Amino acid sequence: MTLTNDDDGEKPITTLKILIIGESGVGKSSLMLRFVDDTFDPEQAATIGVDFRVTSMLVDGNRVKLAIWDTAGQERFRTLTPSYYRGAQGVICVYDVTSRSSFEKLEHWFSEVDTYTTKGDAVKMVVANKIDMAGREVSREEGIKFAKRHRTLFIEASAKTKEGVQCAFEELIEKILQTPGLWENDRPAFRLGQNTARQDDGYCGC
Amino acid sequence: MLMDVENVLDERIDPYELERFRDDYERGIKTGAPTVAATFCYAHGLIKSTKQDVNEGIRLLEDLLRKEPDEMPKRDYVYYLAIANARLKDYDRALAYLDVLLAVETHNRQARELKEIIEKKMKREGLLGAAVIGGGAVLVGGLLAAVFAAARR
Ligand SMILES: Nc1nc2c(ncn2[C@@H]2O[C@H](COP(=O)(O)OP(=O)(O)O)[C@@H](O)[C@H]2O)c(=O)[nH]1
Ligand SMILES: [Mg+2]
Repeated sequence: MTLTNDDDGEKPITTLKILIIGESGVGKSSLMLRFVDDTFDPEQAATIGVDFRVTSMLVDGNRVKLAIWDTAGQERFRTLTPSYYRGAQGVICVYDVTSRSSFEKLEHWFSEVDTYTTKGDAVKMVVANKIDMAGREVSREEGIKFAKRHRTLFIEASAKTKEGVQCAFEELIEKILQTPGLWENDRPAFRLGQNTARQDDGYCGC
Repeated sequence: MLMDVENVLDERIDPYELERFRDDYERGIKTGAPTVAATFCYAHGLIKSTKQDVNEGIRLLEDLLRKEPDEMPKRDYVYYLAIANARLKDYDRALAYLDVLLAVETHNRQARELKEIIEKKMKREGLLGAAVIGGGAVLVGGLLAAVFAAARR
């Protein structure tokens, strides 16, 4: 599969809703902005309510539109949660490798995903962010173990240095497109290439 | 479900969803006082509804803002007050709210983008002019005088 962010003006074959969740401060907004705008703000302001970005990428020469929702992750927005999850095909759960508590909260975030996603088989991914920082509190092995237990994709990343960011989104989108029934093909003539021979080891291979 | 950034000013809430938030809120009223969370969710829904509802949402948000002791929730209320006022085409007041937010958080991208959207709308509607800009600060001044006083030090 080839994936790029270029916009060739072609009509998208489908639109996917991707949600980014996790504790406040783990870098959800930074990951989204790195992916969509290729920028990083060291003084990123805390998100108000919900923020979103629309972008698109090419998968095997076919355009896929992405609506990326970035949530504040704050308690007072909890009642609004169900509407954020509605119709999401992909959920990215983020923790900060320098914050043990943000990792421990993943369990809670996963149960929320299971409660609210309307498409029961939404593809989940765990992103371990801020690997550029000193003072790591969660090892890569622990992250992988968690992801395996929950049968999700896993990748370590840094919104600051870009490492793993593009890969995380690509991997997630490939997996969604490979899941039958999870998305609607707006252009039925389209066929996905059958060339993704990667073994399903649950974490990023690019 | 899908929105582009500009749609924050056009987005409509599903009436059933608003009904649910209204029920929560009114149940709170009956049993004493509705929680801040219930009030906020109801107000957040109202500002995506009819003109009359938006006005009611503004009233609730202003009330929340007045009573809120912490800085973090205040910025949310101010941001949504900007959205609500812009939806009523009270752009001046909307911009005044955003300026207060931006004075404290110059890096707030959401506030900066919303400001651009509003200014673009004003230009399109032929409203952008020196005489209009700046009046809103007076309008919201009373309410906002002390809002972010602590943060601005
Ligand atoms: N060093 C480093 N800092 C990061 C990284 N990602 C985010 N940050 C910083 O962490 C803080 C919180 O990030 P933010 O994206 O607002 O987190 P959110 O609350 O989850 O959306 C900000 O100061 C960011 O600049 C990263 O990969 N490396
Ligand atoms: Mg954020």
